[in-house]
Amino acid sequence: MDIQFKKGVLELCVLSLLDGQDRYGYELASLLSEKVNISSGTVYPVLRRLKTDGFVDTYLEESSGGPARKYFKLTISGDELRLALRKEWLTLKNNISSIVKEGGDEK
Amino acid sequence: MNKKEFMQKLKQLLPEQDKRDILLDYEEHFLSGLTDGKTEEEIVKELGSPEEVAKEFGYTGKSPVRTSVWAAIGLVTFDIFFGISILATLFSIWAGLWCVPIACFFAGIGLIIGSLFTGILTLFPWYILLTGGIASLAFGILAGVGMVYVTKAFYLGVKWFVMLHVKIFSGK
Repeated sequence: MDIQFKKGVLELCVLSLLDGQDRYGYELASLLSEKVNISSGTVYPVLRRLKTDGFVDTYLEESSGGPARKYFKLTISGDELRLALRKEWLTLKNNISSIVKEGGDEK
Repeated sequence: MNKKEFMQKLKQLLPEQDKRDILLDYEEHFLSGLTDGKTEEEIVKELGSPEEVAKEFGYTGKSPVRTSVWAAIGLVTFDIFFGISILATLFSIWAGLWCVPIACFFAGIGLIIGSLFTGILTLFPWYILLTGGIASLAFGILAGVGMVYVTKAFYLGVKWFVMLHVKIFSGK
């Protein structure tokens, strides 16, 4: 798969998971690798890029009986990016679906 | 691979300025995974290879930009001190060698034509001029064929040299 495309999709997935709920790295990695076939190690580079570009913010919070966890939180521009990517994705998805449907489903 | 091996390998691949931050994230990931009841090996397996992770961060061990800059500087230095003079020397030798077949070829033709016009003033009888001319012409052609091969080798050498520059300067 095109690397740029994969990156964009991963970003959208991360941003969507963060919508309305702050999450920590392990949680995001688990949720993503559950549904998308990626190595969970690649979630952190995505998070770092998003943080560098100001789309997410982080804060530390004590976990029950464990060490402090780094939580990720959408910023305002992060939410804007999420909406823009979401729109792009839905359009792309529809367009691709209509192309794929032109082929029959059985030989 | 266990956690220690993973972290050590990753540590080597990351640049100094981001190392601490990134490693902390993975430390936390391991702790969360262990709390989740996974073994270190399982967590490492899910994470993917340290090389892959470092690549996703945009690092491939040594900074690729810096090495290519150093390689380019090294190459230019080499060119100034050795490369250009070596190339010029080889080129002169090559051009000089080409003179042999060309000179023999035309000398042969000259001798053959000359043999037709022998008179009282010529030093050699016509048959010596003619055989000498044919010999010179034949040798000229033979040497010319040899030089074609030399030229091919020379061309390949120069092409390799140029491609080396293209490769280094384009940073691949």
